[in-house]
Amino acid sequence: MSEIDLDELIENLLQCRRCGICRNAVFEDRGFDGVCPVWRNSSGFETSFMRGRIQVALALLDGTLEKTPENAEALFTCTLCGNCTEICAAEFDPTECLEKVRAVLSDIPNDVRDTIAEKIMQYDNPYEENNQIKRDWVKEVGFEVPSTGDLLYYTGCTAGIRLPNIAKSTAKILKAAGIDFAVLAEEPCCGSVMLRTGRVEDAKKNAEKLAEVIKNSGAKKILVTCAGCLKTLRLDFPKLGIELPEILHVTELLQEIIKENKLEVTSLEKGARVTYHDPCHLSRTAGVYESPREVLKAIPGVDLVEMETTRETAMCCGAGGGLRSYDAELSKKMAADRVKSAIDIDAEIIATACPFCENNLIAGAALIDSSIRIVDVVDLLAERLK
Amino acid sequence: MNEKIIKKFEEIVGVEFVSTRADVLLTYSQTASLAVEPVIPAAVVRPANTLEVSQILKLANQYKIPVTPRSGGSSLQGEAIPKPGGLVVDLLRLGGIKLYENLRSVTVGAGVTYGELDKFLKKHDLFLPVYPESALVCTVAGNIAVNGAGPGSSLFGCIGEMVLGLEVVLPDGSIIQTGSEANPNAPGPFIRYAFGPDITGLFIGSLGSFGIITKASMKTFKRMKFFDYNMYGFDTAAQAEQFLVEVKQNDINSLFASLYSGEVLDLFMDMLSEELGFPSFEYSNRTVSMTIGRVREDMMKSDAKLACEICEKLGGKVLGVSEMPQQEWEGRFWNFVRASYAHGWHWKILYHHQTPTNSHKSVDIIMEVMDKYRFLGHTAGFHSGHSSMNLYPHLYFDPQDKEEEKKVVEAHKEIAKKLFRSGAVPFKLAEFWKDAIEDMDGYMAFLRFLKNSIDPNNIMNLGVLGGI
Amino acid sequence: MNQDLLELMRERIAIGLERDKTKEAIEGWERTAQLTLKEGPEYHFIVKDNNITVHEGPIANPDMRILSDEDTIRKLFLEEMSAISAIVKRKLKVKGATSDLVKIKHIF
Repeated sequence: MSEIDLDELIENLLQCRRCGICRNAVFEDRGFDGVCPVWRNSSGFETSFMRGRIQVALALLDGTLEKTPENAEALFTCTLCGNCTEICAAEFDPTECLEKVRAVLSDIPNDVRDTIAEKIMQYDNPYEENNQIKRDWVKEVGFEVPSTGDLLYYTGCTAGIRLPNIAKSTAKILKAAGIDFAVLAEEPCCGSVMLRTGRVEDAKKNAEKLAEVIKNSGAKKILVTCAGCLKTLRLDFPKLGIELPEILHVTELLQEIIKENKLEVTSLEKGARVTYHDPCHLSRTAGVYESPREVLKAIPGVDLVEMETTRETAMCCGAGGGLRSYDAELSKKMAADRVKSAIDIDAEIIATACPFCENNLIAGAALIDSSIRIVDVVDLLAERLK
Repeated sequence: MNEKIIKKFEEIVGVEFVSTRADVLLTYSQTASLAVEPVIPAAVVRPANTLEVSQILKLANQYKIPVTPRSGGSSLQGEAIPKPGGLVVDLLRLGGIKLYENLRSVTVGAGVTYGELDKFLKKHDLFLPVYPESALVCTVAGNIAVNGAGPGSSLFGCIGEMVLGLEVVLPDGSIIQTGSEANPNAPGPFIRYAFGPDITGLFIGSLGSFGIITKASMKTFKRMKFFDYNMYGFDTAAQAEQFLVEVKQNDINSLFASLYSGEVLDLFMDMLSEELGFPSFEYSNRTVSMTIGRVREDMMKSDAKLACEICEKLGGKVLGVSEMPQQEWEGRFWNFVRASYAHGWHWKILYHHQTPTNSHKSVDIIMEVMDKYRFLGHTAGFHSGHSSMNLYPHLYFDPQDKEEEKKVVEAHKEIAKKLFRSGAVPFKLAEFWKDAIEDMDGYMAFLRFLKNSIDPNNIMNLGVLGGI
Repeated sequence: MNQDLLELMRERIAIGLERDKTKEAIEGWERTAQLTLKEGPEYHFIVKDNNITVHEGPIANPDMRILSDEDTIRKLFLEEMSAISAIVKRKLKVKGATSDLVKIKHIF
């Protein structure tokens, strides 16, 4: 991000007329059935949705509220899902503003934010794991994967460390489609969470490091399986002055592969009602709605059904924007709420296209003792490849 | 607020739903009312049901704690600004929708918004045909407390006309039910004027000063399917105003009829026509934008034909432009809000009711005062009932210019006085009207008497209802 | 750069004054407006004697105040952007009487 213009930020924040549409609007014509999942799943005070957050932001910026971690809480109990921006009638972007406020007010102590940033800077991932293990999944795919090449599969920390099945499935699909790809020998974090939580300087340093590593890989195109990585690499890096090759989400590539009949896909053993959860950073932010759905529809036996809120108005799973670390309990409650939406339409499977969403939805399902299957689109497809 | 009292509130609603945090209190210090001084309360509570509301008020009454009820927080004239040391009672947790299909009525909890209710009723091919422009935020109960209006009001009047009964918690914590439901044996809400005088009406437009509405029972109607959208241009205000009178006189089902001056239309067309898909057309001195709605096609067509005939008889021109009225009606949940915010200014509103044939007086007064004080703004109006127009002047100011804001507040007071003298009446008897109202001592004394009788400890939204 | 902008405004006003609509709108009208640019320079307009003139520097007690930036003002005068569009994007702030703003719309 170029230096934040504080005057412009305040002017934008003052565009909020405190109408409250960002709270729980049920606007059937546009597909909204509620707006703010935090408000919905917390004690519901004004500070739990964007109208209140903006008031708190303005008060912290002008000194009306003392800059303390408690007073700044409302700034961080938000996933930056963008649903409020989607419905806001004023001429500004509340979500973007809140992210900027986090950066401008980064002097307010926040242990969670700072700890994650330190972990990323030290370990190249937020999980405090030996970063080498991010490539361990490669040993299990049954073929060699180089570390340089035209198409680079950027695994991302969550798939690489927590949900390696996603990476293996992606590799399997690409191999089946006859597409060569590389995986970095040592993959730095994309730094998304640092950007979301206001640690912009660190994010920039990290981004420069990653850009250099990618350059050295010879990549002409980068493939990601994480919506957070997609937003960061495709949309945020240019704002930091960093140019990368074209970034594709795996479902965007898969849609093309499927159209070209490069894959032989068998039917599900038993037909299943499958619903797709739109990850915020893939959908509202990057505008990718149909590719994942096309991939699912290409699997015979999938009966694709939609939840009450989908696409532009899909309720967030609760994982993003640093919330999962900041308030894991709230984050999981939001995930459980999202899982309930799937249960309400008798879905048997929730498919999604972001490992962070998948991870949180699994936690949400556990919270309500639901046995609904939660799986990445690539995993579901890979299972059905001949 | 005393820690012991806070503890008692926590015992009623649970620790999770009471807050005295500085950041939370700040966010309850104001609402959507712009150019109104915020006031930090001492505590906020979020009860879950009527019983908890009752217990809260009993306690507040005992300790003489000022109470401000609040639901959507979308009111525009300072109706839900707390008092220093006061308690805000956030009613959004009071949900629930119960339909009585054969009684043609529905009961909703205080936290149910219009958007939520409309979605529910649509499944049954019904609607509550009066929508505030804040329908996505505003609760039905909150809107009743202010007696709001909006699309649909041209035919059905203000929301008060739709009420069959209310469940209200009085300032001492006792709970009353008005309308037919006061009879515990009644099958549901089916008639308002059930037991003596219109007690229901006492709470409509009371701005929360007589008690807290916890449930509202409303009329429902079959959803209209047949619409005619058209615009009618006139060279003079008198012609346009007469048109509105004759539309009513001739039983044309005008669901929403707005009256615009040429300049205002010009300004908003420039801003939004591309976004909302309006074609360009020549603006008349006065233009009526009208939606006719009927449940039967033959009735709609007959209404539409007659409207055109009346327009032409009065010397007007049928413009044949449907997009704008269609967007006013079909986009009633969002478009007006968008039009109010797109230009970037904050504004102080001074809505009021005038007669159709006097609406030009309002326009003249507003324009004259805006020119005198030198700030920007606009006004337009819509038919709001049997013989009333709701005019909603927006007086613009830059939120970062405190001088401009002060100017607007001063001008607002002057406009209120002049409007009263022109024969207009308040749309919501907000606090500022107390300085504008003249020669109504008897009425205001009676209002004060009612307030003191119902709320002897003066805890409920003190000073909000006409300054009482 | 400031001189260029001043010249541009004078040039475009001269073109505008040839339009019947503009002549009609300013007939008998007397007003002053001050334009302040974010970059610092100030200008003022005088509408008088059926003419519009623009000058460098501020003016005391203007009837209308306009706040903008050089790029936006250029675009406005070159008719590459409408005033309303500039207002909506908050690149143009206008303070004054509504009837004056309406009149200005007819002028430009």
